[in-house]
Amino acid sequence: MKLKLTIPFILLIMGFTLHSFGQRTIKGTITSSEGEPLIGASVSIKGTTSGTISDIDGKYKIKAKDGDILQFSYIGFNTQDIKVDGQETIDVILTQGIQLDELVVTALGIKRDKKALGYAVQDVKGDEVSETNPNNIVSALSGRIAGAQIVTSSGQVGASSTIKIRGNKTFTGSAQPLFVVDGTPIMNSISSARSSTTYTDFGNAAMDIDPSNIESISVLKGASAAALYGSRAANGVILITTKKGTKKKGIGIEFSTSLAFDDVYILPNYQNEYGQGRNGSEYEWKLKYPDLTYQEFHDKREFKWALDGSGRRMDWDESWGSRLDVGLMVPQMDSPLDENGKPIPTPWISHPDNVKDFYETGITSGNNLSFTSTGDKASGRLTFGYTNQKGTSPNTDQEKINLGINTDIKLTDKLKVDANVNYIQLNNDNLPQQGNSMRNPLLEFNSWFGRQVDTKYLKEHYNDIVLFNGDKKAFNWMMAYPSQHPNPYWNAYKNTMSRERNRIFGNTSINYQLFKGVDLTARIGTDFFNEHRKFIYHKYSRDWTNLYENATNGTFWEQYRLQSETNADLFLKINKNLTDDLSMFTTLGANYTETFNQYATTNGTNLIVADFFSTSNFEGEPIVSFTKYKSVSNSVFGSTNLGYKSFLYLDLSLRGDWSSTLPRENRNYWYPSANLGFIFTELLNMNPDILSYGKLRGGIASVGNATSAYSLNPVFYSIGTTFNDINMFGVQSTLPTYDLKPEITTSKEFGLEMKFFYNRLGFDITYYDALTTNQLIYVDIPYSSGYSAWKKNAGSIRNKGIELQLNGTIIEGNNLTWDANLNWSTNNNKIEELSDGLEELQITSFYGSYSGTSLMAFPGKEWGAIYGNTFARNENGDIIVDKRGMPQSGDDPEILGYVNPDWVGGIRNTFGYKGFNLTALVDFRKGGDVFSYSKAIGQHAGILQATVEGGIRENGMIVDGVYENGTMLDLNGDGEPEDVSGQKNETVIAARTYWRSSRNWGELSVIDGSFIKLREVVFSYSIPKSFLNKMNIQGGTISLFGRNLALLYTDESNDVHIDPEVSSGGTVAGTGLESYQLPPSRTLGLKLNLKF
Amino acid sequence: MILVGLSLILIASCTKNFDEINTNPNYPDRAPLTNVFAYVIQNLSAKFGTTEMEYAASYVGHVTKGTYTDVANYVTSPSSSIWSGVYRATVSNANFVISGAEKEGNQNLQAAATILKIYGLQLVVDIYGKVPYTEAGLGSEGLVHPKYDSEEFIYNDFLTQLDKANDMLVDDASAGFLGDGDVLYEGDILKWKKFCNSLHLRVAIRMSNVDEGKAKAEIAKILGDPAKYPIFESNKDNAILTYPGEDWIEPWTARHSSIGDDWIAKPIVDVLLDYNDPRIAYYATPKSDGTYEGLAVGESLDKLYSRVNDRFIKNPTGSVFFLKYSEVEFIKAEAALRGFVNLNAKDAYEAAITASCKEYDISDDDISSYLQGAKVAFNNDLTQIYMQKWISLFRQSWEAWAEMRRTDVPALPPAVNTAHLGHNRVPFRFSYPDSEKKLNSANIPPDVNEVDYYWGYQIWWDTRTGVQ
Repeated sequence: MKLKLTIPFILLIMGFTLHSFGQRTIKGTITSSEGEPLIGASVSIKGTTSGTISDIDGKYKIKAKDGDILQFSYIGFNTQDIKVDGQETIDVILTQGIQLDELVVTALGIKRDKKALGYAVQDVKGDEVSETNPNNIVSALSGRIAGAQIVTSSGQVGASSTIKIRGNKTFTGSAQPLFVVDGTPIMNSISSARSSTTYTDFGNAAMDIDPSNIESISVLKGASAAALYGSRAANGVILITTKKGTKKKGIGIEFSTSLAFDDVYILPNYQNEYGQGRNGSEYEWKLKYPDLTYQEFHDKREFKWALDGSGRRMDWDESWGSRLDVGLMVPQMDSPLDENGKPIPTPWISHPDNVKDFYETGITSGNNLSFTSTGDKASGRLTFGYTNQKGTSPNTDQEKINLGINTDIKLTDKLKVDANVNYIQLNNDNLPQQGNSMRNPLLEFNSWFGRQVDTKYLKEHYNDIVLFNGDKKAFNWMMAYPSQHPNPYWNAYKNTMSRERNRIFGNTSINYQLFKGVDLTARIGTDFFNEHRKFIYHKYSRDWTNLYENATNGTFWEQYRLQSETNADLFLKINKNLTDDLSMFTTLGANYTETFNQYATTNGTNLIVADFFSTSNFEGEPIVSFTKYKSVSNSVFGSTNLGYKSFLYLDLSLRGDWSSTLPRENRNYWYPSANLGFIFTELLNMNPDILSYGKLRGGIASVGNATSAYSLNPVFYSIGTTFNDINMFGVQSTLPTYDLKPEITTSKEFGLEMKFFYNRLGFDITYYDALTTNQLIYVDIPYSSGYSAWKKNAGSIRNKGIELQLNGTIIEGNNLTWDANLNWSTNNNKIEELSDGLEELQITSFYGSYSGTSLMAFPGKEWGAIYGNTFARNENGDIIVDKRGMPQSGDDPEILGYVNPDWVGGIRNTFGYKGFNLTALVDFRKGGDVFSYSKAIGQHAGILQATVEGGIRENGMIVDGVYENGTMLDLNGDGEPEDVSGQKNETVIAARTYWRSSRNWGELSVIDGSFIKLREVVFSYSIPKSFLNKMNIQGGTISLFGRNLALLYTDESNDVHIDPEVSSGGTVAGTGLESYQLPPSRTLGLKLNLKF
Repeated sequence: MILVGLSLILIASCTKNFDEINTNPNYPDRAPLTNVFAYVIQNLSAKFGTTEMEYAASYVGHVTKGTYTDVANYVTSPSSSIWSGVYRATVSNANFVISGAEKEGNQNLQAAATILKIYGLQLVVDIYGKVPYTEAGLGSEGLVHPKYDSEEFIYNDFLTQLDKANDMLVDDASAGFLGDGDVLYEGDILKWKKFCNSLHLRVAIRMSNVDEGKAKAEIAKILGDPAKYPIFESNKDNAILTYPGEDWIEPWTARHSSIGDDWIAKPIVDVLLDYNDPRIAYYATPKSDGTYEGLAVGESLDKLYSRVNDRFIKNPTGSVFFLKYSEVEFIKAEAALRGFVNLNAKDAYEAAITASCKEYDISDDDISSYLQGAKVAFNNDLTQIYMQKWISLFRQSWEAWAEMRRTDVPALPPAVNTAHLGHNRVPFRFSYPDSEKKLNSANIPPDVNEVDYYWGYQIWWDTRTGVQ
């Protein structure tokens, strides 16, 4: 370990001590600390333009004279300077890891030296992301980026992941950053679409990117970094650079294959003591029917299954029935029939794993093959990827094909062209249904299911069509209420949502060197996809919508989507040293962006031929709609980076946008930025043994944001299909405004970056303060105005926060290495203002009709207050109960929590021992409250553990509270009621009475979303070269990986045991709502990588 | 460099076709009046039709829930869908039709849209009391915080507007056509005139206890000049919107098909049985033993009761009733008995019951024997008129609720498991929706005291005393 550190040091000292002569050739080999030759590493004489690169064996030759300083650099390695002082040969070992001169990709795809930047940029290497073969590139960033909160909506196939950088800047819109691949923005539309009949998570479009094809990811967090991308960069930018053709040893083929298994791993905490029914607890029995046996009591009042509608309470979907596993005999769905066709009672027993049993082991296999070639004039890379996934939900799947070509051609010394094209085909035969809908099996499982249900029997019989009260219906564990409670297997296999997507994105650019240091680039890039979605609904389905009544032969819904975004850029780069000490790098350019979306949707009421899903088979005319959206913006931008010596850097930028979505007079808006970076260690001449690098940076910037297309003029909406042969039109219920202005985010940030002990230890800390004003929001107005909302510039939000990264190489031995990284960030969000004197803004209604819980914005408070009903409490905080012993409700809703976390972070440890490598990523979140439907309704319906805890169904319960004022009760048993106001409640009530009312107390269903998760573990082994080389293989690794391995900590308020990391849909409004979230999956897999 | 910059700016600022790009290609910024008119009719019926089954039907003891009893027991605050669906949508869309028709000189359409607007707003006033009226629906003109008007002012203006509408309705091409959008009367101007004046009677009789002079004068005026003020003369004139089914399911059926928890309530069943009323077979479905038994309002189902008849809850092509001929006859009977007009109360009373029974194909023999019944045979008792009106208003629960509050017949107590103790009558009104209280707080009338969401302030025309 000591040796490695000392070699460059000795070389450096040698450089100072030897004498200098005239210009001569110096040779050497550049290797990594592992002894691998570094191909294409650059060697240059500092302060001049002369330089060379190393060849395929890592060897170089350069002409230099004594006194020159040779600079050795290679992407991903620390740069070294060595003074020429008489040597003939200079062999250099470059160390990997923490780097002094890091090249990072910045706006417009321009690679910049990280030290020259005045703002925070964080880099993630592609290999780090791809090593666990993630299905979604966004979820793979979990725990890796300081200041980013990543939420994956579920563990199901195609699930969307959202990322939010530096807090919510918007009241109601999207908080998603802009995704840019190789310089061109791509779409990351998040589509948790509802058709009229379904709610499906179609994922976020960036999940199409093949992780194996990524060279690096840069995250530009603040407005400064983003100023050059304009409007859409207000939420930050994720810059993805794909792998290119580079010189490699061997024939340039890489192959990887992986196989992974998924299992659901966080399921709610169900009770297993009572089955479905109305009022069958032992408490009720003992209280009201003490003369009957429990069996007699059950037979008189509770659940019985029957097909002729004579079953008592078989229609009761809550779990307040009779006790399980105490010997009761009950007619159930799987009971055999007697000679009269009546079910013969069978044991009334619990099935503790009946939900878990519904889920299957998901299997994902991935294969990736790439070919790389490099010549003097051209280089290229061709990749082919194929991933096949079978989901944990029955009958769900995903198939993805990725094809990529990345080439660059040097036509002359001055003229270069390059092109990269990616083609993606994504197929899902069925995507699971989710949300608060009976098509989501979790709605049943977490609320209206029975703990007595045998899932295996449901599966075996889902396809049975039975006669219930003379009507043919799909079989289920309850037959009454045929429009409800579909068998989950029926939905999984019969009422499916499929999707096929074909997508192409990429760009081509031409670069011409006008003069030395001045080149002109023209680039055009596009992202285009078409997608087909189809929902089919079979005959005999149970459904709570009109379909049940109308689609008696089945029906379907079908949509074609066409989305595109095209960007054309023209820019001039000027790279010039103004004086010996002053360098300048200037970019001037213009951009044209056009986004275009088109949807064609068709559906109908009923089919003629049952279960034949074609428009030709609709009874009557199909309903067809075409909609399209287009917006255009023109922009100009300029930026200049001035560097003084190598320690002071000033970055200035200015952008002007013209957006088609804004009114004429506000169409054009400008936003500037300025940043300063100061590398004080360059001045101080510190001992690098202690302080190797130190940089202070600061900046101020603003970013504007236009609005969506067609927001300016009121329109009439066609209301459904014809009514008695007339088309109906209604006035738009929201009022447009005529003087919309762009939203502006103005941010300041300061950072300090320091590295110690030869870069063994480093930190990077950033403080930012961003104010977003002129927020474009729909402001509710009184309905009595004839309208419901008004789109306005009305409000401002401030986000302040700290981001911290710590990097350390704790052990760096010959055999053993240990690196540790920590990311931590906190964001403080405050609503500075709501216009029009608004005292509140409802962002969304979580749970309108019952407890009135909603997500709110209040001036002076944090964005995203969960606002809902509470218990009535006295001044001591005791719950007030009435004389029946029931809690009273508070008069007004209160803030029950805030959805944004207090802080988030991740710790990554990497251990290396000989060829073995072990990486573990733990990520965590403090705070971030969640309103849980599963908890709210699951408690109401008596299916959760809390509703049986402490013997309350056997003995009743006493609410911990005090009697309300004026309560007269005979507590002392003297036959005369006395005033017990304020006394401790002693009245026993049934568990059912309490919990069935619990929906009125929203506070009961708010969960503190803190968690610690073991996010990732990768154990890899580099196969020895001696072994591989015999087979002409250059390198190979085999790795065992796991994702989402364990929920190590969750708050005690999460007694329902949902995944605290939830969101519903891609907009900010879905934050903090658990709406029957599909369970997450634990993944274990094996991956093999080979290089030829 | 500056030159490059300037020329780029010049190119970028070329935004010639931006207005065109930002013109919505999906939805028009204008619409034919008759198509909007159709929406006013349909939306109004759908919104009050759906909500009446949830709320008013249980207050009036007609229909209740067996499982989801929270609404019936006033546990939750009232739905805001009348406010958002009936009130908001009616004023904005009807205003568009009224002002558009006025510009086009289509006075028939202008009048018909006015009648519907008044129909909807009377419903709203009867539910909430004071509401914005003169300034309602003017958001598009920038008036987003409308002031409130008193019920008295609004009711009096209803009468004025209905008079004007009656004058404007002329069965002549020169007065304009209603177009295909008239899904209520298919362009029959005379029927619109009858609807207009029948509604006029409804408005007038409602205010008869608080402003008897005005009510009397208005009713006498209408009934005194049938040539100028034609009113409903048979069930053929009824203002009934029949739903086409398929995508447009009749609201009670649509509502029932989702939860299916609707049971006929004890009060109406008890009265129908007591009166030996033949309509029971049409309102309810007997239990399996062939008898009828209603579920007490607010009670949870502990066994099977009689359901609401399939014609109301399993009939996608059923109808929503705006106003029926029988109601007009009941108003005539009341006006006669109270001496507002010189008519025979008994004739009107019997005509009303007969009309109501005829809606259900009940035979003439059955009707005449029913009319002889001990409790039915008319003995000049106002209460009889009110009770029969309450029976006939089955499926018109909002009107039945308003009349119960005006007449105190029948004087039903609150639901059996009421969440709010200390009341002796079913609810008086709905509290204003939270959104309105928050967003239009400056204008919410301070004298409207709201108790337990549903009690407190009594609507202007509700002159009952001793009720709480």
